[in-house]
Amino acid sequence: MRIMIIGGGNVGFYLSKTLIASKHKIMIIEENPTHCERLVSNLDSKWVEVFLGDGTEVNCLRDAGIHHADVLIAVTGYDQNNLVACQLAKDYFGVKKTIARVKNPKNIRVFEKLGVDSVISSTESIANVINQELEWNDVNKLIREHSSSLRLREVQVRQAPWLIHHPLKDLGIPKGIIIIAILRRAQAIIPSGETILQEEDKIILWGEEQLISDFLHILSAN
Amino acid sequence: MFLIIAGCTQVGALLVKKFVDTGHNVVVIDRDKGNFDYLETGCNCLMIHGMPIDEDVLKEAGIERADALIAVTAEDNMNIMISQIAKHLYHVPHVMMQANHPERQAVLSAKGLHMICPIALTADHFYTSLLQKENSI
Amino acid sequence: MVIEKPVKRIYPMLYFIGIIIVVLGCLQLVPLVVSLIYKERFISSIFLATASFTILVGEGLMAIGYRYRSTKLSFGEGTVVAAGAWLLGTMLCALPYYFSGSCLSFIDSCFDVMSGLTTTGLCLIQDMDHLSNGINMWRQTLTFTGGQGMVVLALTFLTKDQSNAYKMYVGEGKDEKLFPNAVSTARQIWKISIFYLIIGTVVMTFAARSAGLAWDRAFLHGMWVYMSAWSTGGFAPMSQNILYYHSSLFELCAVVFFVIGSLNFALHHAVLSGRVSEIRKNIETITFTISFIILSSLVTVGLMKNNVYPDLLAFLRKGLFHLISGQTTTGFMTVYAKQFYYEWGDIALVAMTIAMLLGGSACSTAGGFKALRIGVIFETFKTEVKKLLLPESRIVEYRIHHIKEMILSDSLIRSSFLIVTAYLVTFTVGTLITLLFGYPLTMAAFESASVTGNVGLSIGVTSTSMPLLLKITYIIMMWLGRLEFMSIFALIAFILKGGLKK
Repeated sequence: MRIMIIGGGNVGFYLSKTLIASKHKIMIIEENPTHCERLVSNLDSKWVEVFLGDGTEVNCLRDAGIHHADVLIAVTGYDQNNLVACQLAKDYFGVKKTIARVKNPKNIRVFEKLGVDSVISSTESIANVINQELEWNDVNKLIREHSSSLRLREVQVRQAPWLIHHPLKDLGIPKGIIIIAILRRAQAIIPSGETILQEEDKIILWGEEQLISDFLHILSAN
Repeated sequence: MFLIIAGCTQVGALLVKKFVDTGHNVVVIDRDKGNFDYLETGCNCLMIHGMPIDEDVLKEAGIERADALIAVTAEDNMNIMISQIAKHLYHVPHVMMQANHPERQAVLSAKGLHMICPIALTADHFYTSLLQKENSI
Repeated sequence: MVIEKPVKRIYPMLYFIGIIIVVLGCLQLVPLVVSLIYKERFISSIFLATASFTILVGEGLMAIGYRYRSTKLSFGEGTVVAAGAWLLGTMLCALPYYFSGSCLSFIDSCFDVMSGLTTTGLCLIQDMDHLSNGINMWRQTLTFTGGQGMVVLALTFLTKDQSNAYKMYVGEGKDEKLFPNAVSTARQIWKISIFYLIIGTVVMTFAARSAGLAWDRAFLHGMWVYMSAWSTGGFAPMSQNILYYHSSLFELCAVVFFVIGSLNFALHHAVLSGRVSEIRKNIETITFTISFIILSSLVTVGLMKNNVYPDLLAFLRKGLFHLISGQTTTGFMTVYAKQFYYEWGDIALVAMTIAMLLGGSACSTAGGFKALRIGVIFETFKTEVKKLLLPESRIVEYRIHHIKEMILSDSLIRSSFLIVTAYLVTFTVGTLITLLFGYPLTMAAFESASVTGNVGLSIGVTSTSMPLLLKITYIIMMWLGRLEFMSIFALIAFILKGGLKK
């Protein structure tokens, strides 16, 4: 995939480093010459092209080859710049997918309403992890009091795409594990055998600890 | 009219003065307290110190009942974002913004934003008035 | 060619003072109408004459300053306008009293007008029980206007040149912004007042009717007492004040309205636009309630010790009624003035004195230190003490809830301390001067607190026979207390500066 990244600060730098590992072609636009130098000297020029300029400007985006990009990721330190970059890419150049990083988690709603495909807020992710951690710990503590080997686990369907498109009963989920709930957007669905999973779903598994970890192993192997 | 002006720049301060003098309710937002010095002392308006793209700040300024919003901060992208929040999320009837880069004009008027570019206006004005003078000679 | 010539700063100020005076002139049409309805020939001709004279003076001032009306005033000049309008307005409004013979001298008339406009409620008027309806209407109109503020009233009519509005608005001892624009704020204040005026008049009319008055008198008395209650004024149409009606229901209704009247207009605005929970959270209502509970227990102890009101109903109707009346700075009375001194005892009187000094909410019709300032000062002390116990590096905020969460800025804390100090100094000076004329200490302190806080409860000092100097002192103290000092100091400084130059 060809990915255009707006903003070559720390986030942009480590993001491109990670993406190179999975063989993506990267274009980075960065305003600050010092940052550009660091990018050029530390990243493999076979995979990464660095451009000096304002990523919220039409000419600069065009020069950097936005017409060839499949995805645009805006990770500058300013929410307003990320929004404008994504909107230009989407509405003006027809880039298929746009991803933006926001600093203020409240802006997630704003960005989604204004047409950005995915919005990521590190602040919110950290907050979510903390909240989830607390909740799961409570639940698992409760379960452990009654039975030492039973566990609840949460799994992202996205990690195992073969789960999608088939009714649950055909998936061959081993005996001793049940799916007690599907979390789809903000809703929790109690599944039946006919329920079909979607990509963005999370499922909550319930069963013997050993069986669950075996099942998870199978999931990632496939 | 209940009007919000985002950005207490020199343009912003002049706008505040004009609207206040004619008896409108004006709220001015700026993230830099020092910029409020552009206003006259004891200005008959409400000053809010905060980030104008923050929804909480906009709500404090009363965006839910505002009749109009003018975004004149020094940053184009900030103005674009404020205008879109006002227009699409809060449905403020009249939203206008200032853009400093002339090349943005085409892109943004396609998005339905009412914008004014002072640089382009100034250049156009000089250009046409000089041509007129030349023709009249 | 000279482009800008120096403008004499007095001219634009005269223009705005003129506007306020014209509005005061138009106000005199209200009692004129009432006196015409009751066919009071003599009174209506007086009002006709004084109203025309006042409007003429106002128009004259406006004409002098007309050319300079769009000149920008400084903050100080805006406040000078407010203070100047009050001074001149008081003298002009005193004319009807003087000419109708209701007051013995011009100073007495000025005292009564100032007492009305500042919503104090002390009076020197003669033969109150046989006053004409026109004059009575004028007394209440003054109170009602003064409560909201004459500048606030004048601002509602200001359509152009609004850039100076906020500076004048601040000069009259109010600074809340209900709307970003001071003119819209002024209009909203009047809308709230008129809204309550209608409700209040209806309620009080029925209360007066049930107390045994005939319908048309019940209506007039109901409206007058309501206007006085809402403005936390304290003028009543009869010399026995509220005692005249001998009705618990009437007293209860009055209490309800003057408590409502002592609330901040910003709070009214918040509640009327649906945010009812603000009442519970607001620092002013909390401060008011706490201080009231403390003071009422003091009054209870004081009254019980002397065994003044043995039965509960009398205690409520006499004891607590006066405390509420005092703390909201209303000044309605259900006892005779001298009874305070001879019956109540020192503890209860000291508690009353403190209550009158504390006062109601800021930006309301009430006077005194104002609950907001007490709250701010108390919060400051609390945070300072907390700071002592925390590690030195810990940053502590001063935070209060007033309509929204507010961080206390140093300037707000400073101005709170400053104004409270100014009140205390005025109170002390007033007490001293009263003492000099030979009144005992508790009496002097009580009356002085009542005057400083614009309350209007009297312990018997105020009467037509009191010395002239004391009358003038009280007039100045009422004026200082209502406009909260700064604008009057600005006016004095302005006059002195102008005087020295020439």
